[in-house]
Amino acid sequence: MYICVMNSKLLRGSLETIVLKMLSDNDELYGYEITQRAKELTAGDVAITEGALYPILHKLEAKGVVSVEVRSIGNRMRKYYSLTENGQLELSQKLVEWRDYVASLNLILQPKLS
Amino acid sequence: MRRQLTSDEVQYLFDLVRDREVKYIDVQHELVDHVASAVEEEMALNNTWTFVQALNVVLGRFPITGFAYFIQEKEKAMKAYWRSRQWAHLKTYFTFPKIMMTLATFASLWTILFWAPMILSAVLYIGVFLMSTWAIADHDNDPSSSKRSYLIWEPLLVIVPGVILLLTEVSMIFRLTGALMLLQGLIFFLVRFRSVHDFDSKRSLLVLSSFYRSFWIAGPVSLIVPLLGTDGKWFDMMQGSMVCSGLSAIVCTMVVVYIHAMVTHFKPMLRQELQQKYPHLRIAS
Repeated sequence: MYICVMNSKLLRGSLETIVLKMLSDNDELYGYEITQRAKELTAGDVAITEGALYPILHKLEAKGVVSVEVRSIGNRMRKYYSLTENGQLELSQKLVEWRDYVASLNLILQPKLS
Repeated sequence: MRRQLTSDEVQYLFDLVRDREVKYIDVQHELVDHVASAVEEEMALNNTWTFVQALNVVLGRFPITGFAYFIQEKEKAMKAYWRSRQWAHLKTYFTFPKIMMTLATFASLWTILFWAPMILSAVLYIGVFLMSTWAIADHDNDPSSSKRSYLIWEPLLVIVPGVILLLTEVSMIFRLTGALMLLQGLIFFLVRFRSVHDFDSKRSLLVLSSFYRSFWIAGPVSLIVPLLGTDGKWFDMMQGSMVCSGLSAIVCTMVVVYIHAMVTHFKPMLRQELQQKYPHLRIAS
């Protein structure tokens, strides 16, 4: 069986793509929700840590790839992120890159594994 | 049964993130919401846990460095944002009257530089010196954090070239500049460690990062010019030379226009933009 939490180095490189993809599948998400969704979707294999998530969200926000809305929920504020049009473009680019990468990686690794 | 945290508990979390040097309100709100959501979840999963027990478990998941990393990354992201917005606003800055003003500034600077380079350069450096000192004194950083190494190396960026200029065998005007830069760096150093506690919004961060640039321009330029082989005779060459004074006038015009655009255009636009984006923050004018 594969190790229970994915190799964090592998994960770090694709975290931006994962976050963008999750935002495109949902209208809007807040930080904590993203970490929880990632866990649910992968049955606990992918654990996005707080230390990695927020810097990425802030970077994406600064780049204009995600937009932000702050709303009050009871006695505190919550910051919701959603994908902008630029974000959709960026995501489709990243997905193409990712598919190419996986395809080339398979060419190299597959023969040895089979 | 999932219970929402009380206002007191939320306030406790705010105090906690503030104690840990999270100075940007935006990040404070976000971290508080994150920690509160996680604590609520832990308390729902483990019925018997108190708020403090759940909080300790949640805080344990954060990196050992605490929140310092968030702040560092946030600053990086905001600097990138400021740069990209500046370019966007630059296009809207140059209306017809501004273009005329720029040309007029260039023409007058060219004339002045052609005739009196020595005097002007001194005036220019004193201007940069006063402006940047004022800027830093006005929007200073939080002095209580010891991890911020740039508190040290940024003043050094002005002091070191200043000392080198002062000690090298170059023309008088550069030694004067060197002395000014040295003084500027020392003042910069002192004001950075003064107690200032109102530094809390994105606005201050953006203003701060933009003003640093004035030092970064002054330092390297003053270092490179004497090293060009003219032994600091650039100003002597400029006297009576159309090309030299013209080139210098272009540089000076860019600096003047940049400062003007920053004060009258970029800052208000950005403030408006941020206010729309974060209606819950009061971004002071």
